[in-house]
Amino acid sequence: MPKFDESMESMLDTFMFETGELLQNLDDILMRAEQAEDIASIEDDDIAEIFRTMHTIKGSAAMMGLQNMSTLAHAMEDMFFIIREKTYVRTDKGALFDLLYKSSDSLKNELENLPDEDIPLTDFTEQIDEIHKLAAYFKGEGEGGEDKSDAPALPDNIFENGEPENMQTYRVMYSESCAMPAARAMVLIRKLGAVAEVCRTVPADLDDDNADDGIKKFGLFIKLITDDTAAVEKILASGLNVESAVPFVKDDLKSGGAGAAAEPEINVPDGVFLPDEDEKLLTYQVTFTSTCAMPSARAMVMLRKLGAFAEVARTVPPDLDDEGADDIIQKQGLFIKLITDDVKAVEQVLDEGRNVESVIPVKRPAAKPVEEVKPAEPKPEAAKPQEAQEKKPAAPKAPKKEHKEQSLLTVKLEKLDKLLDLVSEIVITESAVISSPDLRGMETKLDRFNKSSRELKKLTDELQDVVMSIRMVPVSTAFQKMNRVVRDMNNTLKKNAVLVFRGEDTEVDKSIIDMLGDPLMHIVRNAIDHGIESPEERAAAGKTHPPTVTLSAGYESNEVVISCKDNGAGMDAAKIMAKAKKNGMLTKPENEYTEREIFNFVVAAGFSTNETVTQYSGRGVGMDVVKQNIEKVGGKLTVNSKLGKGSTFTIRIPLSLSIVDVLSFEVGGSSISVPASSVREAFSCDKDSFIIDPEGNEFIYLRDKCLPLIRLGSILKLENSVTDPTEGICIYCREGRYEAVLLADKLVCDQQVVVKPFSPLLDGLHLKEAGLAGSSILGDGSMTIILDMNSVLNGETGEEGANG
Amino acid sequence: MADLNELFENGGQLLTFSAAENCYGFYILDVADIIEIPELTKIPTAPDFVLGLMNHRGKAVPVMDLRLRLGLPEGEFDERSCIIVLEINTLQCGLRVDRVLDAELIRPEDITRSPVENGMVKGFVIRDGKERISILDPEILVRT
Repeated sequence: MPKFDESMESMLDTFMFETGELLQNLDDILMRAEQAEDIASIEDDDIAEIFRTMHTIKGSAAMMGLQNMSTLAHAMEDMFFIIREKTYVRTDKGALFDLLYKSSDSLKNELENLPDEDIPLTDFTEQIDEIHKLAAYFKGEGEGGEDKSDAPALPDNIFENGEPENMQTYRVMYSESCAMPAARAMVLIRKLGAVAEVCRTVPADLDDDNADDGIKKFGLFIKLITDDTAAVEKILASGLNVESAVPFVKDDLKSGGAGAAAEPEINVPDGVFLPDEDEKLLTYQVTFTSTCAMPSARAMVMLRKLGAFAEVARTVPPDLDDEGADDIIQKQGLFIKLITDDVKAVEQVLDEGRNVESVIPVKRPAAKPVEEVKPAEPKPEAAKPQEAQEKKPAAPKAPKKEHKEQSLLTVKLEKLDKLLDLVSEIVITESAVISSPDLRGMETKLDRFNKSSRELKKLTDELQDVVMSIRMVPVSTAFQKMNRVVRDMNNTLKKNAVLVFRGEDTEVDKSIIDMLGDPLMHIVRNAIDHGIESPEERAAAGKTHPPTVTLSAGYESNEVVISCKDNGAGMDAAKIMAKAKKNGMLTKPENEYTEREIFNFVVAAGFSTNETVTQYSGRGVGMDVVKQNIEKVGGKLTVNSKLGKGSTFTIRIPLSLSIVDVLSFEVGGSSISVPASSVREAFSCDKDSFIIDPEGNEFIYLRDKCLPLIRLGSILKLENSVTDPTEGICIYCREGRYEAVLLADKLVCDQQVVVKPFSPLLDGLHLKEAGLAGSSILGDGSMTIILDMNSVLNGETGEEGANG
Repeated sequence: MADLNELFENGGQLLTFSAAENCYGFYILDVADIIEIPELTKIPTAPDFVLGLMNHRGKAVPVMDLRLRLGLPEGEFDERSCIIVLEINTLQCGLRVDRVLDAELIRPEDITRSPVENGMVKGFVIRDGKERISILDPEILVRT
């Protein structure tokens, strides 16, 4: 069985992305909320946000047919309902947040495993029970769920007066196990849309929190008009989790239900009827279709039209301009109080209003004293199916998250890359046009042309900057995730470490952020587990400052520098040296190692100073993987430490992964470029410094070093290149441990280029092994070949650079 | 990349071109562009049949020589020689040919499959009174 509703497969991407974002956001809010003294002092906004998040996840998971996720989210939502309504009598903040984090993690895991058909859906029953138990504890008793012991009476608004003859009613019962029948119902109704006109459903608002309960109790009533009854019944019967779908007629109501009401009863909110009102005042309840985005605006138009026939005394809600007015109207309808001589005209105007669903004249509940209309006890009132009486058809789920209207747009990275490509193409074409050889000799007549071309250049430059900046995101997105790591570790290790951010608004390329997540987590874990001492140890060492881990980010020349600093115990160079020696990691005499080199053993493979392996670190695998990951994107990881003061791990990554500064040369007529970062200096050498030893090895003697000579012409098999070192140009390069002097014909320029790897079609040529990293298109449209310095220096010298 | 089997079963448009007096064809859906020979950037250490890279709409696209790729003698190129840009699973590759001849509709009954599996030539178009066309498999041709 597929994991989710098959018809929803196309939605999977969106669902995963959106839910992922929501969960990430949820973590952030949870972190913030946890700072509060106790549950009562959590900010209302945060509670509402968590509640809304869970509600959305519940809904979309149910939409996808992922019952386990939706039930779990539902349980969390229930929990927060209690907190939001403050109906708890006792609380347990620790337990609550542990449970919330656990659930959030479970949801995240489930989400990640979703595309993999082989991993079955996880059973969250245990977790859900835990949440329910905690919820019961909060409410002060062992009883589960709200008090909903009303006798199962059928909703009394299934049949209304004045319904068309051909309107059919179906009663759909869902199986017990169906967690969110309301969401299933929405899908069902959408499907029905193809063959029938669905007029309304009972319960009316499937998006409502109580809709699920209503459907579970009484089933879902769908009122529709159709020409193709067979198709409708087929759709109903094939719906997921549908147990039975049978036509329902009025007589059933009488026999099956209790106390059917002939008169449609309208849930009249407080304030519609005031104690001393004019007798002539007529009241109409107007409800709008749920698809109507701004009923308040529609209402205003309507009121203006009414002005011609009637005197509108007031409306409920009174202020249609108010932000909340739309919600209220969607929920309970719009009440218009007016005095008129022409009732017919008024009713016509109302009926003809756009998006109007129903217009019902409302009579004052004469017998009832005013007090009784007021919702004296909000709790039981809400539980009764009365609230489900709003006259609205199934809502296609959406208008719930009105507050956080996103001003962000999610775009596929591919599209951005394409845009970037196009822009570079424009820049290149532009420079080709402006420096076209056809213009030569016309300089005196080109005043206006030059002026416009300068303008064009300015614009294209700006365009390029903007497009580049689109890919930039603040590092805070990567930093924020560490909050969670620190919190979890504090809970288990009891080190009470504080996480501090600096420069978190530093912007870096999106691909760097994506790559940073894992390394940062390892480093932060390491800092807390290995670096920060236990409170007792700190006290013994006389440290009064709170244990702190500082994450900072900033730019340094063309690099992003991200560091993680702790004020913990620091590392003992001697201890590390001993361990490195024991593990056979030394490559030169012990006394030649500088302190810096010694500390960097820590990030080498198979090294861990911590004697005991903990849950978080100590296996000595983490850090070298971190190092490799960083190096893969051209970055560097360095370590520094002071015994007793703390350690710092620093990551340096080139600002943009694709743009590189290069030095371009000509070799045998071809343009060859070397990354500027590995070039030490370029010089022309004289005859005396060129050395050939008896075995034919060639060296260049530069100051006090003897460096191997690599002729680019011969390793790249380019003919007609300069062979005499004194005629060409020498480039002293160093990459890692390897250094050498490259010989090229002449220096062309230094420039910034975008390195494009060779087409995968050329994989069979092993260009990388031959020392070629890729190619790059230059400003004038010509191309240059970029060398892979690691393989050029490493492969050709085959030995370590001469040490003096 | 278009499926050559589709061509063999239902027929279709064939872009025909010549190299060293022989006539070859690509299924037209494999062809992205036909362009003049641009400036080429030599790839050091690459074999002779790889002519180099060209800047094709901001992308560095490798260019190969059909004659050398098929082991035919190197030819002279004139202004009618051109590059056929092939698109293979979104990857582009240029192929230098002597000249492009025609785009013709081929009926399936005129096509004979080659018995060689994974060869560069997938089949032949043999019709009375007309030159034989060898249908090339672009992927096998340009993948090194």
